[in-house]
Amino acid sequence: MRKLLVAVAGSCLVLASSMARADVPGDPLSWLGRIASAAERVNFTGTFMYQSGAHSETSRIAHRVDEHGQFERLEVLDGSPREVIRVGSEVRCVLPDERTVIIDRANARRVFPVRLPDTFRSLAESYRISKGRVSRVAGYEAQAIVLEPRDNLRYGRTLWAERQTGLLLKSRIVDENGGVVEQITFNDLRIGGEIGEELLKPRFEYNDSWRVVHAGGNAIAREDTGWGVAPPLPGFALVSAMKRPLGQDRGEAIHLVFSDGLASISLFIEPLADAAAQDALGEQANGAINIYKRAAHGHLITALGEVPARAVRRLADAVQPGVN
Amino acid sequence: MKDRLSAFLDGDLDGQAGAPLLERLRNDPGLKRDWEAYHLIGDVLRGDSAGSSDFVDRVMARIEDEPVLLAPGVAAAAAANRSRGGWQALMAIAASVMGVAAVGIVAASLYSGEPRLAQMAEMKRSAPATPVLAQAQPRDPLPLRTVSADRNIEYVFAHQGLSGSGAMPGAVHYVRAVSSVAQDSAR
Repeated sequence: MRKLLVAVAGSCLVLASSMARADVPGDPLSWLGRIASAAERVNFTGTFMYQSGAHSETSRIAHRVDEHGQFERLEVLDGSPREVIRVGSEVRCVLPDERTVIIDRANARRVFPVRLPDTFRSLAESYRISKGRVSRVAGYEAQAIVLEPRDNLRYGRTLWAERQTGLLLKSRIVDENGGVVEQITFNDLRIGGEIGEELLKPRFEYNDSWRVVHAGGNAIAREDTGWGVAPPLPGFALVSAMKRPLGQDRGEAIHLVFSDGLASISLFIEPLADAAAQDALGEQANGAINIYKRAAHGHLITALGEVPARAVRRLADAVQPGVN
Repeated sequence: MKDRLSAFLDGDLDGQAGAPLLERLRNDPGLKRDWEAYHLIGDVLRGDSAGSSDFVDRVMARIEDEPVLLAPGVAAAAAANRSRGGWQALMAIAASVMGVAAVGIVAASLYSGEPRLAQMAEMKRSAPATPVLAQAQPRDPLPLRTVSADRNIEYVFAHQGLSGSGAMPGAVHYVRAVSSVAQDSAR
């Protein structure tokens, strides 16, 4: 009976989204809204390629949305097996080779910047947004949306959205010289239809011998962070603040997220335990994500995001205690 | 006995003092393994052994191999009785072989306060198993991952969780955290 209900609810969702198809929006901002919310409306399964620099990797994903929430399984198919499992608000990152599982619990008070209409207006202040051509990606008709940065603190992007559902089929991030920083492309995709349990079932079981990292934290008010950024980074606004426990006697890390509506930078501020932590300061790159670490005010400050290195550096350098 | 073995290897024991040791070596398989291990380490330190970086990787992989450390079996218990100082001596030499990498792991463990630190302590306390080198046979070489890279995964994962998906549908954006593309460049 319950299964039937799920099926009915699922059909309603499909029906609702097919009704929404009637009015395909014309302006690029509405397209962005459709892209951002597509995954809440449709099931999909397929494989996509993730490219960064000279490297590329293929992953398989299955995504189901029903009245209980969103359920997903992502598996990296090349190299060592890695898996991301999402069950409602819990997301698990399973790394069997490292016998590590990282668990994050989505917080109800979390802000999802790209879904807010306000964000789309502020997006236009950071990017010139235009519609590109219609082309074919993974067998679907795709509308390209082009975002050109207005300054050098963010990358340019092109998004290809499936014309009927708005689901993102391809995303490309380019630097100021036009070089591709990151590209994600669906090679093979099925939109809609049933997503069976077998497609969502975790492949790896973990037990007590694994290292379990709880990345989840508690949302806090911005006044309570005790930290701020001055001067602010143009176009980036504080959208989220959290406290994350670091374990026994080690205090807490403050996690602040700044966003321009599309690109975001995380700032982690944690007590600097001792000199040992200073071995990895400075700039690092992690695929398309730039990382910058510095020690200041007795704390380790880590800034990272899918933005140019100068942006994470500027934000980290501007961190000060007490400023809101 | 390990100290004597080490001294013998360094030429600090004369022939007479070394004779009983040689006798023990013939009869004690564990001690023989250690003997071979010391030689192997010596070879690597002197650069006599080809593929030394691979060797270091294997040693590192074994150190990372947690179940062996956390769930020492009967053999491990026996080994614990057999030698404590030997294991630590081995660790000291291995550390000098591994140099910065090992220091980095220890430092990061101390800093992060993750279970890894407890595992290091556990490792010493239980003095697991056959000496590290005997275990270091290339079973299936595990990729070497530094703790620093691990920490970045956690940061990136938390970042992806809280920053929203950008334009990515569903969990696609998490690929940035789990991709080994990212790990390669983080090394």
